[in-house]
Amino acid sequence: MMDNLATRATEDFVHAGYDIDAAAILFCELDGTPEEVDDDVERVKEVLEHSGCTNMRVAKDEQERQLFWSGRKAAFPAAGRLAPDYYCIDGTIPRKKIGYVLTRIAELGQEYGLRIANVFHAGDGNLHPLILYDGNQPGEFERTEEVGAKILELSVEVGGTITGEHGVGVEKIDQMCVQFEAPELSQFHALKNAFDPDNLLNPGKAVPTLSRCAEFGAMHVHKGELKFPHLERF
Amino acid sequence: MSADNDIDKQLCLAVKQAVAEAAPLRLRGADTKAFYGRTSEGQSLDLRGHSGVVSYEPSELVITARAGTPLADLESALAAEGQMLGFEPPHFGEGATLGGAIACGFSGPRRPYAGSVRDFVLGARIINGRGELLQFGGQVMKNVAGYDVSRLSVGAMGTLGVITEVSMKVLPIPAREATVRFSMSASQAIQRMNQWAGQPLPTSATCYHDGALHVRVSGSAKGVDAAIVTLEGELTDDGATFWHSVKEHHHVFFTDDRSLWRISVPQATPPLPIDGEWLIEWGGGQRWLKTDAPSDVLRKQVESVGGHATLFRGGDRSGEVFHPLPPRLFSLHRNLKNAFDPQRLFNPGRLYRDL
Repeated sequence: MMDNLATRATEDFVHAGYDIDAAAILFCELDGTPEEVDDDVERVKEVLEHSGCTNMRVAKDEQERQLFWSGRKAAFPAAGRLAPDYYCIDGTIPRKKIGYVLTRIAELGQEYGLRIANVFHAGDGNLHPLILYDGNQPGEFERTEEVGAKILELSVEVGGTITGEHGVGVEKIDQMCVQFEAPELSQFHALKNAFDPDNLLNPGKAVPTLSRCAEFGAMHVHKGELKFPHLERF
Repeated sequence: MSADNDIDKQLCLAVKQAVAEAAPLRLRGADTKAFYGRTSEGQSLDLRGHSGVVSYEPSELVITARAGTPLADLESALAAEGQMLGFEPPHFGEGATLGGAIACGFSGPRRPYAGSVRDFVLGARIINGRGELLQFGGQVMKNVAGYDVSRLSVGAMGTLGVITEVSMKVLPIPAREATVRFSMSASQAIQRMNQWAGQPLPTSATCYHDGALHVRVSGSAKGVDAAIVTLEGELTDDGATFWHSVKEHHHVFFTDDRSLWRISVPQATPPLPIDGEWLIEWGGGQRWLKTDAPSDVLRKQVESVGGHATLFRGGDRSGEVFHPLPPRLFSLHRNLKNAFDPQRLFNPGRLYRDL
């Protein structure tokens, strides 16, 4: 799925004939034998017609199928035309929450004065908000990181995860403290220790220490509850 | 429908008590899979009291249920919405529970074509060997935050923790299924199954036994009709009964007292020169063998083609029933066991003697 901002940016780039007035475009690819695909196309058409779709196009051949996808595949570079920098995140949510979360993301964007384009794997509920910013403007990168963190926390709040496919290295490590409780994080450390007892492999990445979470928790009090109350604050 | 019973606090207390008393636990449901794995001693911790569907939203294709929920109840709740467990788990008896299917890691005939039980698990709640209730994964389709403990627990035979709740991806029941039959030799069957695997056919199960190859195709009505024409086999009308008998081991092949081995090999491996009676499934990847051949000879043969052999039913359950691991791999298993269950309380020795 691509939202209006992403659609306009890619249409300028690839000229695939997208409807640039639509709030969002949904791509739906079907595979199987020709007979199966024929059956499935009919079912998908019916579902979309009953779901408020304003315009539907079925690719007539392989060339047109490629053209439809060209915008989606060029979406990230196209976003680069909208702003000098962008920051991509990867929260994943239950699919029924897509509408609510997209609305909240737009609100957060307004609150922080940043434009956010959305290009994502709708079938998996795997969002890829692209937060557009200009790293040369003082404070913009910091605001970008902060709104990114808010979006990830929103993903956890609606029953999802902070990362669907990109993983956690250093960047999203504080949000691990939002998604997991202390005993779970301790279990991850014990599991890592089973494979890497000397902690030689990427120490400090992927799973935060409890003290890091305590520091982070001191800044972000979730729903009025202090995280890890038994740990000493620094 | 099973009762909605949440006893996770009692289960945590039971584990904490076992920790205090250093008393091993034998995790159990309806004991339909008690035949599987090594014999293991311990006080029985019955999970059947922890049951019920916690959440199920057909439009999300996700179901979350407690470990003691009978598989039959789960499957009928899904069927009422036109959905199913894609890995087609065998029950192996009345009252089989979800927890048992997950802990044993059993998948049925659809496994090579739809995915294994592990592929369908999205998240789990687990009580570790400290009596802490932990939650891993989730209810969403993709999730790479933290190590994948839910899927690690699949097939661990309860040795890493008490699985109390599981979230799974589910699939729509195919609009149509049909089974076609062919007469041929085992080596021809293996060849044909592998050739078909390279074609866009809606295959959903394959089984070869005693000169007959059965192939099931599932999908849309037109897709299945077209596949029947492509396959050119003899259409049978008792497909559902046949696949049920293969899945549940009611098929005549499984009904004698010899030891039953489950041999896992690369799918295209030609028939193995081991004396006994064979039934081949999963496009050649899963082969059942009834034999009196000594286990070391058999395992050497299977290893030489890159496979492994499990003594599935019968035989000596105090020896190693799962394929022995190389020492370094085994030490990783032991480290993992220590990380989850340092006192070796959960099903000690059920998977390997020293785990």
